[in-house]
Amino acid sequence: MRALTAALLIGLAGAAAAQTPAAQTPAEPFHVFLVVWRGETDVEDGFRAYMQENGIPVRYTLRNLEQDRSRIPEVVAEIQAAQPDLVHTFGTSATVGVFGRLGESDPATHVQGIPGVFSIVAYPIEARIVESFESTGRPITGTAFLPPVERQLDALLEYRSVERLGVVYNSLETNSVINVEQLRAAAQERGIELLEAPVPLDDQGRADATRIVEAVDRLAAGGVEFMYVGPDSFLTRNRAAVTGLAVERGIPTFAGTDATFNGSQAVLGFVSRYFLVGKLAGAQAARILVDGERPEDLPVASLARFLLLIRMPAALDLEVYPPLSLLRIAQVVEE
Amino acid sequence: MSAPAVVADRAAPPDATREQVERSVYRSVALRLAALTALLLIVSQGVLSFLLARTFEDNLLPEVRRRAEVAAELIAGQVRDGLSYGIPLRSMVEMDAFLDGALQDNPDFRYVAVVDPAGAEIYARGALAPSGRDAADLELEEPILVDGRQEASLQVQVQGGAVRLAELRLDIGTVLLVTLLIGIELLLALVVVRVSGPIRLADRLLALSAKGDFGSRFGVRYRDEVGRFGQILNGALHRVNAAFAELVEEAEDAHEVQLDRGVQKRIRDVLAGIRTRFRFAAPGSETTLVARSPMDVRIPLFLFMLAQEISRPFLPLFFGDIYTDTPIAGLSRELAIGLPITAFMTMVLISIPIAGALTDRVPPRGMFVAGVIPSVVGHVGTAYAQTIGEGLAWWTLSGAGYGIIFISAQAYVAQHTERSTRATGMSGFLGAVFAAFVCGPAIGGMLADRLGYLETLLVAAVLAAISAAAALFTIDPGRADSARAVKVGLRGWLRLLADRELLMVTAFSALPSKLVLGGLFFYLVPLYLADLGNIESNIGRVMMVYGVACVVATPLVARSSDRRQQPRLLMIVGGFVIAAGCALPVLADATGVVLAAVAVMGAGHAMVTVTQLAVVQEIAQDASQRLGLGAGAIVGMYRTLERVGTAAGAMLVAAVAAAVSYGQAMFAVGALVLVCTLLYVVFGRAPGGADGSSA
Repeated sequence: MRALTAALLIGLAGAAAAQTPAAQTPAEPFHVFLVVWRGETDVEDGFRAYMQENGIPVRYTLRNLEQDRSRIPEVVAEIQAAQPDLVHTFGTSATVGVFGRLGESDPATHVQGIPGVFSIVAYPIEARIVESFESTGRPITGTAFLPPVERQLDALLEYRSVERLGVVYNSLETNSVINVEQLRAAAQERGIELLEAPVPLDDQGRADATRIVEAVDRLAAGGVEFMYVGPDSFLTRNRAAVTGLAVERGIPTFAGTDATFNGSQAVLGFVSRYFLVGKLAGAQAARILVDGERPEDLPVASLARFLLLIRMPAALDLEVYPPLSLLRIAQVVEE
Repeated sequence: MSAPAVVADRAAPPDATREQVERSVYRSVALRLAALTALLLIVSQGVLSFLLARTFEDNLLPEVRRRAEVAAELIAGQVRDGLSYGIPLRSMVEMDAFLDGALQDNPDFRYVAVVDPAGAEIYARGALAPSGRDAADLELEEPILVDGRQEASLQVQVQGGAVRLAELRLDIGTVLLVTLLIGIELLLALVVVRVSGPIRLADRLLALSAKGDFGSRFGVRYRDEVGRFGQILNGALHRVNAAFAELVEEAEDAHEVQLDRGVQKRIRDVLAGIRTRFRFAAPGSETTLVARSPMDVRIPLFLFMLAQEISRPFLPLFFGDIYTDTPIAGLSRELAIGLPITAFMTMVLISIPIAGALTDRVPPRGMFVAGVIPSVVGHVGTAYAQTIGEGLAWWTLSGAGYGIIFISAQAYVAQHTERSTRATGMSGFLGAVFAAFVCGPAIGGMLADRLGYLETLLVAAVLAAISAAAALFTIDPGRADSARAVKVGLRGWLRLLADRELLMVTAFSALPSKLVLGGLFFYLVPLYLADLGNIESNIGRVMMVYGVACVVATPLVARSSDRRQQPRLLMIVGGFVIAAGCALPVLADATGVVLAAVAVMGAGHAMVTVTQLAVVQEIAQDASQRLGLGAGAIVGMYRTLERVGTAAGAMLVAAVAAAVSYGQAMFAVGALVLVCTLLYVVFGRAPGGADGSSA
C-alpha cells in the first residue's frame, strides 16, 4: 500500500508536470540569464534539459565570470538593462556578487526585482544568501547540493572501518571551515579521531599550492586511514595534486563533491550529480516562470539521492578493496 | 367444557424445573452438535492435511530448488563482479557480512561458501549439516567464471522441506483447532438463537396455555423447523381464541332469546366464570412473544473481538516497521512502539464511561453498529499509516470502537437478563471474548505470515464490518436502557481509595497482573518472539497458548475458589505463578522457554482474575454500606483502575525494554509482580480471613 500511495503521488506529480506548461505556455519564450563562475558545467546542461523535457521555451544568455570578481559589476549592469525573466547563478561567489548578501543588497550594484535561482552554493545560510532552507526571506531561491556530512561519513564507513580520519582544507574558505566543523562533530559521534591539516599560507596570506605536500605529510605522519576532501575551491583546483600526494603515501581519498572527485585519484566519492542539480534548479525555475510562484515562497530544494563513486584503479593500487555489497550499488569509475 | 378447568386447576410447573428442562434441551442438542462438528472437522481436515503434505513434496520442492538456484546465481554474480574489477579472491573485504546478508535474504539457506577452483574453502558462513541427513536437502555449486576461466565457485546448502513441512503441519494443526473453536462457538450461539431459545419460548407459551392464558402468540423469526412448529402452535392458539369468540357469540344469541331470567343469569355467570379463569384474545390481536436471549449478541461480539485479536501477534512489529528515524516527542523506538498500544487502551478507558452514559439514550444495537465505524476506520487507517504518528492516531481511534462495542454488548446482556440470570448471561458474553482471545492471535499470525501486516489489518477491518452486519441481523433494534449506571463523583473515588483492603487488592494484585497483560502480552511477547527469529504464525500460536491456559484454568480455579472459600489465598498463589512465569526467560533466550512462560503466565492470570473479582465483590458488599456507594459502582471503579493498569503496561514495559534485553525486561516485570504480591501478603487481609474487618 505504501507503494500504492507513492505511485499515486508520483502520478499526481506527473500529471501536474505534464499539465502546467501546456496550459500556460506563452508565445514568447522566457528569457533566462545564466551566470557561471568557471565556465559551463553539467548544471547548466541539466537546467536546459529540464526546460526542454517539459516543453518550456526559453531563450538563454550565458555570462562567464571566469573566477574573477571584478567582472561582476559589468554582468549586473547587463542584467539590469536586459530585464530577463529569471537569473540562475552558479556558485557562492557568483550568487553573492549578483544578488548581494541578505539585507545588504544594493539596487545600484546588485540585481533586484528579477527572480533568482542559485546552484552549487555549499552553505547558503552561512554565506548569508538566504535566511533558511525553508524560507529564503528574499525573492531568490535555489538548490542545495551537498550530501549531509553524516551521510558522507556513513558512506565512507560502509566502505571501510576508519578509526583515524584526516581532513585537508583551505582555512580561508568559509565553506571549508563550516564543513570541517560539521565533520568534527559527525566524526566524534561515530568515535572517529579527526586529524585536521589546513594548507599552509604563502607570504600574501593565501593558501599555498606548493605547500599542500606539508599538509598531506602531517596526515601521513598521524597515521590516518583515509583522507577527506570537502567542498573546497582551492583543493578542487588542486585535486590531482592533493590526491596524488596521498596515493604516494598510501592514503586513500574520500571526495565530498563531484568536482573534487572528477580528474583526481580519490578512491571514494559520495556526491550530487551536477546534471541532476541543474535539473532541480530547472524545476525551481519552472515553478516561478510557468506556475507564477514567488521565489521567496519556494524552499531551497535538495536532492534525496546521492551517488557513490568508486575509482577502481586507485582502490587496487592502494589495496583498499571495496566490499562486494558496495560494488553493487556504486558507480565504478575505471580511470 | 370441563377439561380446561382441570388444566387450570393444576399448578404450573415450578420455574426451577422448567429451567432445568430448558438447559438440558440446550445442552444435549448443543453438545451433540458440537461433538458431531468436531468429528467432521477432524476427519475432513486430517484428510486434507495428508493431501496437502503430499502436494507439497511433489510440487513445492522443485520450486524451492529453482528459487535457490536463482538466488545462488545472484550471489555468485556479485563475487564475479569483484573478481572482474581486479579484487584478488583472498583479499575481499567484509565477506562475512556479505555472506551473512545472503543467508538472511534466503532463509532456506543453511550454509553458503566461496571456494577456490581447487575446492578449498575461503569464505564460509552458516552451519553445514552432514549431507544426506535430510533427503529433501539440496546442495548447489555455482562456478564463478572471469573471462572464461573459473576463478572460484559458490557452494550453498539449502535446507529442504523438512522444516517447512513441520511448519505446515503446525499451521494445519492450528487451523484445525481454531476452526473447531470457532465452529463450536458459532454453533452454540446458533443453537440458542434458533433452537433452544424458540423452544424455550414455545414452552413458555404452552405453560401460559396450561394456566389458561391463550392471549399470546409465537413470534416467528426464522422460517425453519422450529419456526414452523411455532406457526402450528399459533394456529392452535388461534383456533382456541376463535372457538371462544364463537362460543361467546352463540351464548349471547342464546341469552337474547331466553325469557327465563334465571337461565339468562346462568349464561352470564358461565361466561364470566370462563373469562376469570382463562384469558383469550380477539383473533388476530394476540400479544406476540419473541425469543430474545442475551446470546443474540454473542455472534456479533465474537466476530468483533476476533477482528480485534487478529492483529495481536504482530501489532508491535507493525509499529516497529513504520517507526522511522523521526521520533514522536523524543521517544525512543521502544516507547514509540508501545505508545499506540497504550493509547488504544487509554481510549477504551475513556470511551467506556461515555458510552455507558449513552446507554439510556441509544439502544444497544445502534451503539454496536456505531462502535464498529471507528473500529473499521481505525484498522484501515492503521493499515495504510506511513509513520508511527499516523499509526498512533488511527489505532487510538479504533480503541474508541472497542470501548463502545464492549459497553453495547454488556448493556444488551443486562437488558435481556434478570438479576438471577445475569451471571449466566455475562458468562456467555465473556465466552465470546475468550473464544476470540484464543483464536484471534493464531489466525492473525498465519494471515500476517502469508498476506502481510497491511492486508491482515484489512481482513480485521472486514471482519469488524461483518460483525456490524451480524448485529443488525441477530440483535433486536430494542430500546435504550433507562436504568442508568450509578455515577460516582470525585468524593466517591476518594472514599473508595481510602478503603484500605480495596486499595491493597487494586494496587498489589489488579494493577500488576494487568500490567503483565498490557505490557508483556500485548507488547513485549510479540517483539521478544520475533527477536528470537519466529515467524508471525509461531508468534500467534504461542499467544494462543496464553488464551488456552486462561480458558483451561478459569473453571478449575473458580471451582476450587468456591470450594475452599479462600479466594485471597488463590489470588496470592496466582501472583507467585505469574512472577515465576516471567522469570523463566532467565533460563535461556529461547522460544520454548517463552512458550512455557506464556502458558504459566496465562494460568496465573486466570487464578488472579477469577479470585480478584470474588474478593472485590466481597469487599464491595461489605463496603457499600460504609462508603455509601452501590456495590456495582465499587466493582465498576475497580474495573476502571484495572484498565489503567492495562493501558500503562505497554509504555512501562517499553521503558524497561529500552534499557535492557527483552528477557531481562520480562524478568523485571516478574520481580515487580513478586514484590507486589509479597506486599499484599504483608499489608492485605489474611488469606483465610472473612472476618469482615479491615486488617
